[in-house]
Amino acid sequence: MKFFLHSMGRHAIFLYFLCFCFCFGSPGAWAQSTVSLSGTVSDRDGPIYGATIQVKGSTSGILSDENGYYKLPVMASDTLVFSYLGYQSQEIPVGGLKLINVVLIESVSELDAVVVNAGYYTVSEKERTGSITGISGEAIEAQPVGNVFETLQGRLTGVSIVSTGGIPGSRFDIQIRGRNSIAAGNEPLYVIDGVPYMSESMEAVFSAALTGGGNPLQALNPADIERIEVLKDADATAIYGSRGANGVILITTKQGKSGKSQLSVSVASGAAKMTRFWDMLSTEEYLEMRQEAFANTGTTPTNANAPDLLLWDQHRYTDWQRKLLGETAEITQAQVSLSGGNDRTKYRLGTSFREQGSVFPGDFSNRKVSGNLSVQHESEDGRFSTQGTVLYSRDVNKQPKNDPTYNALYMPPNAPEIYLEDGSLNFENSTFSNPYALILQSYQNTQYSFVGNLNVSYRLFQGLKLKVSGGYNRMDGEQIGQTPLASLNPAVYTTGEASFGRRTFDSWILEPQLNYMRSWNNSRLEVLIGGSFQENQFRLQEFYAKGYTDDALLDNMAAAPSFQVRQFLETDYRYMAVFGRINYNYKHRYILNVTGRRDGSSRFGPGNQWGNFGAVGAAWLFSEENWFKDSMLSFGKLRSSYGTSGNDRISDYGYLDSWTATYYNYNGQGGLYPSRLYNPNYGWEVNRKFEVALESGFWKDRIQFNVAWYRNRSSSQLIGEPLPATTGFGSIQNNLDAVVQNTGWEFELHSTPVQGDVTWRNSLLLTVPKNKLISFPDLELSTYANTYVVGQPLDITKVYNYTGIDPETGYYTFEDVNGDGTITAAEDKQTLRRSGQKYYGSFQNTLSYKGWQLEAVLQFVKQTGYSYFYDLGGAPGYIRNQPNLVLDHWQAPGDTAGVQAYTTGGVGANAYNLLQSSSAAYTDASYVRLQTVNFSYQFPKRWLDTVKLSGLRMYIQGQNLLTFTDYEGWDPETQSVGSLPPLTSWMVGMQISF
Amino acid sequence: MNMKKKRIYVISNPDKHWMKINKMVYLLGGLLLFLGSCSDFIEVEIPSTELSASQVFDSDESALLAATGMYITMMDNLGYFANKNTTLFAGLSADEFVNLSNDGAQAALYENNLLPSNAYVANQWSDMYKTIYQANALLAGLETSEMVSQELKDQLIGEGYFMRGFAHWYLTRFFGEVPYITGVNYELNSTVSRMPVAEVYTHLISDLEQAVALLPEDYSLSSGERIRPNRYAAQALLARVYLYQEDWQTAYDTAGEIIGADSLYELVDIGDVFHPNNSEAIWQLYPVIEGFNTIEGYSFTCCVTSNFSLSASLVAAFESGDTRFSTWVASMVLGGETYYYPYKYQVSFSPAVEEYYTVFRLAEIYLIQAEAAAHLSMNAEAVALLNAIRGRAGLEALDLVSSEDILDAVMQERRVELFAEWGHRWFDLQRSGNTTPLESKADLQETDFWYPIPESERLLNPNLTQNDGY
Repeated sequence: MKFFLHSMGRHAIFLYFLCFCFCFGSPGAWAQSTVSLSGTVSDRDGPIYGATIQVKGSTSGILSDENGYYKLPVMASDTLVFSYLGYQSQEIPVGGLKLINVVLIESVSELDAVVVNAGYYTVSEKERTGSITGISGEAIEAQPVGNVFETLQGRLTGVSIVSTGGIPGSRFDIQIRGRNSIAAGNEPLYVIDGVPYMSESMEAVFSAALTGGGNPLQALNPADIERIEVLKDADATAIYGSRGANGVILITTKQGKSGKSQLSVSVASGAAKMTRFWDMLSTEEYLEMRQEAFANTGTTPTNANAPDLLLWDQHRYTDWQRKLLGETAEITQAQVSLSGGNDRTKYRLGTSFREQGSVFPGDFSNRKVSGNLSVQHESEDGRFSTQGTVLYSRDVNKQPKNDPTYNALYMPPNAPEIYLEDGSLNFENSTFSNPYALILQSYQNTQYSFVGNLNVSYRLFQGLKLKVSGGYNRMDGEQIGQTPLASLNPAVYTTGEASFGRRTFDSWILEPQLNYMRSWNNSRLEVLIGGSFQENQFRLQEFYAKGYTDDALLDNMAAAPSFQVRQFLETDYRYMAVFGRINYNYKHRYILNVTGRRDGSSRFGPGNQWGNFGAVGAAWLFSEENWFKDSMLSFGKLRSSYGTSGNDRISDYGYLDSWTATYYNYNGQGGLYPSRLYNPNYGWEVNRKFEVALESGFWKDRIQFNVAWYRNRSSSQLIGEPLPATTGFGSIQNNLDAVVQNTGWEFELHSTPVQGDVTWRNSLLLTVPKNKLISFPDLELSTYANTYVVGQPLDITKVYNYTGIDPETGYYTFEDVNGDGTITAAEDKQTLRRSGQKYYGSFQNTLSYKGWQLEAVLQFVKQTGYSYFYDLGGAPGYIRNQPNLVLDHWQAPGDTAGVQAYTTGGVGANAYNLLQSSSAAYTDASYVRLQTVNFSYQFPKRWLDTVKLSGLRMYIQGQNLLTFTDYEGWDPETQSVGSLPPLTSWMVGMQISF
Repeated sequence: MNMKKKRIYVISNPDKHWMKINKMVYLLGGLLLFLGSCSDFIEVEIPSTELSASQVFDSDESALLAATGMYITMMDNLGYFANKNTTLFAGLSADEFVNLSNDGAQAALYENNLLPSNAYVANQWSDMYKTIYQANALLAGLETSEMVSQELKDQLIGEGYFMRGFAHWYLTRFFGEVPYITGVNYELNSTVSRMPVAEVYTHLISDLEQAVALLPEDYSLSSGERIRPNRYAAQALLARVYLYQEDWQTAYDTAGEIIGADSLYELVDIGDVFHPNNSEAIWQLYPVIEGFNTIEGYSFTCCVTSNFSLSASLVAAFESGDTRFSTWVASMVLGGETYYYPYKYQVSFSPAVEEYYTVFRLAEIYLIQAEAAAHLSMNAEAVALLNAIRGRAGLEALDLVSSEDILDAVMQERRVELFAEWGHRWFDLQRSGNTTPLESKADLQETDFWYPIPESERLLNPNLTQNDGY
């Protein structure tokens, strides 16, 4: 990093660069000097400020000034070492020279060059004391996917990212270092260019199930991202105070670069499809199942309960999975960016477009348009600088109102024709719930997102900078859910209906900060103090319109004969904080980092609004010690941190005793109902985090090995304490006096086995998380008595112990633990099953040869999951198709089989219900997945020069290509039967720069 | 350029250093003062969609809204208490409806084969307690309020007691022994135990008697619309309670008071029974969801939306010429088979409100008094009451002598008069312990008359015991 300052003047004694400066030296160093040597240190672009000039073999040295100039006393026999972070050091013997001008060349070692964004400050990767992991924009850009979370999966240690479905815009479950909280949100804090981004669930107004509540970063174009950093431990997160408990995800967008204006155009096109289909029963097998089920249950099929046996064609066959989920979703994307500027003013302007089709038949798609502008400016004297960014996007996601995935499985194979001769849907005289009705019922979510931020900083005097950053985030959501008349059975319905939702989220933040930096002798001190003011306003409205007799008018609320307000909500959240950081660095070997924050939040009642958080972190760069000089160890650091952060991810107004207006009126008169069970007493949740980590590099960092162990304990948990309905509500906001512990190991091994023309780099990441409920006073008296067990993880479930199929009755049996003759939940659910990840990680490989590059990421997860084979809408035997593994079923006394007797109700249905919450419903859901493969070719510069291009790259990229698993459902990651699993996709693309 | 200026030595000059430090301290101090002075920044206003509890009971207008909220919540389309589900669940459990649905939870109701984990039963339980909480919150707010006028306060307290009793009555009918909740303290309410049915009744009668004392005789608060409970509504429920307690004399007397209020109540034409504010109606609920009338009218159409039909035995129970069958039952033909469905509420969709959801009506009171009279050996009076109901339905008068025959006839009349209406048939079978009509569809135990205490409730509150048989 370079600073361009007009004059150091009398303030030269203060060094105030942000994060890294090398400053070895003592006044005695030149006392014995004989010659005064001077010169400049620069790189290809100009002078380097703060480069270290050191006499080899001594600890004395000085730094270059803002013009790269240095001057120091030397002896002719000395050798000078010129070094600067991120550059290769150079050694030059003084000889008789009086002037040495040096041009430093950028270092190949990434570690030296990488500057990590820690939110309120930056720190060099080498000297950080906290646990911060990240991913670069290049790695993100190599995967042309719609959502940035897809690019992060498996790539970050300690960060679990689990997809919940394959529909564009689907939610991802993000957990950084495990589940800290029993009930309050476990989502991390998202910060885009300093502006906290809405990370509360983006839950749509209605019909949110399809995307699982939505995805906060859906609006962001992954290609605009320069870097993502994830803050994990106390040292890194305590400065975010109450919002750091679940970790912080910092997103930095791309900024302009000085130099020649560069226009870059990138286009890609591809397709996505289902990864696999289930083997279901054929028509013949299905009908046999139904006959057998009626016989077993002792009931007679009637036209109403068995149209499939009595009214429908007995020989028809439809492969509903391929009919409803078999389309190929086409993907097109394009982006254009222009960047450039000079030393003082830089800009970047970009725009992008992406469209993804659907695997469902019908008119569904996700279209996203985004634009961004970033400008940086610095005054001539370098004291004043400003930076502004604006991101804007519009995401139109039109999907079915209800996911047809479930229907694709269970529709009877002999179900009738989809359409009648006149082209309308066939309901077969009201006996067939036609799944194509779902295809006609759409749900469209239009999301507008605006993020703007402006930083202004002014150097008051040497070493002290005042910075004010302000940001504004606005999200607008518009939803339209439509049930056209054409999708409804005309025998019952005569009108269509539509729902209209609106949601706005407004947030502004203002953060004044003072930064002070000073160096002396072998020490460097950085002090930061700041404040934060934030306000979030949320509005939500839902309108319901019905009585439409003409489907063409469904978009028009005004055309509805009947109209009603379904929801009308608003919340206001205010938050303020004072925070600070002191960082002391001695000899670039010993680093101490102290951070703290005092937070106030409107989510707590009077008297409980303020909370204090803080952390201490320390690092020892032992590779800088003399005894490691010239060893194979190129880098070695031991670091540790301890501190607290908090969590206020709870709903607003939980302390308020109030009544809410009803949405309906009673013959013209309104109504009020109690808003909630209120609790004025709850306060802050505290998360105590401890970490020890070792980072090392060998043979000039060709091998890097990092290991971290953490222990997080969260206490006075904020929960919506579940209550029995006899209280009138389901829960109350409260602090729970329980302690949850997350411990874990994180390993990273990066190596470059082959370097040269052919280069092969790889990374192996492994995270082994452990979660445990440490204490829970009076657990057995609490409402959690039957949910949690002290000493066990939070993701356990108490289930019935499955004891096989009764060979006489043919039905599932379970252990009657208390021996009372019946199977009852509280008493007989005594077997524990865990449904969490035991370990996860990835193996990433990059192979390059000249312009060719092949990158592949394998992701692996070891876990137990819920076997959704037992969730096909009831026991085998009902009017629902089943996977063909039910063929192995009980038929006659004495049979041993995997599946119980077919049934259409009664005892068999109950046994099946119990099975769904028994030990048999849990299964291994581990998998290894080829998450991404990217093969690209960068055209050689020589050739590009002849066609006057500065860059041309072509690539083919695949996502979610192969999965190795024993899991039998759609997908071991989502473990769901009713929602579309993640799709597999291929993209071909090209990037041109002018 | 001045070389001296450019020189950087990494040393500090203590004087200058302190000068800067001083400046910095001022700046830091200023910043801290600034931050400290705005600590009230985090105070937020109550959202405009809400009123604080003290504001609610500050005026007559808002206190009235708090009471009205109870009825609106009950008529909300997702409610599991009123507006369809009490009728549907009890009808399935009894011999009124035949399940046609593949929905396992609904099938279990029909098969009398409930699991404690049944989601419908859990929702029903919680929605009834939700109404109870609203009533208790209303009572708690009114008790401390000094701003609400005494007359209105009395009436609203009466409504609160009535609603609390009303919801508890249905709870104890479905679940037997239940906790009777009389306050809003969640710590107490989350650890409650079940009470013997007799104790539930003691509370219930006390609440209803207070309601009778406080509620007005007329419907003036709702401008003559019969959509708020009045004294007679409380007495109607009391009469029912006494009947179920086999306190025949009190049931007879209480029913008699309502029947005696003939300036307000009289039997009306079969076709008018569910119309707004008809003279037979004692308490009706106003349909709040615009565009619909009642949810029963909207969804009880056979086979497709409701997934049930009327049982053959119920259809056969109607004597020929019964205008209740021709008016209150409809049918549809499916694949050559005829399916019957309830048609008491006939409006499935209409922006105009043409039907109110009727909770108490005079015909039931006639039948209560008839039954009580038969037990009190006032047979002639019992027969007269019975014949009034039959005559209205176009049936000939019966000439019965023995109490036993009269009681059988009352049961038959209750079945066809009150079918598909707030669970009467299921509760009648339950109180008489009569499992015979259910034998054709299920292997019924007497314990099946009581729904299971929801599993989710028992997991959250270990003090709640389970009914026998689950």
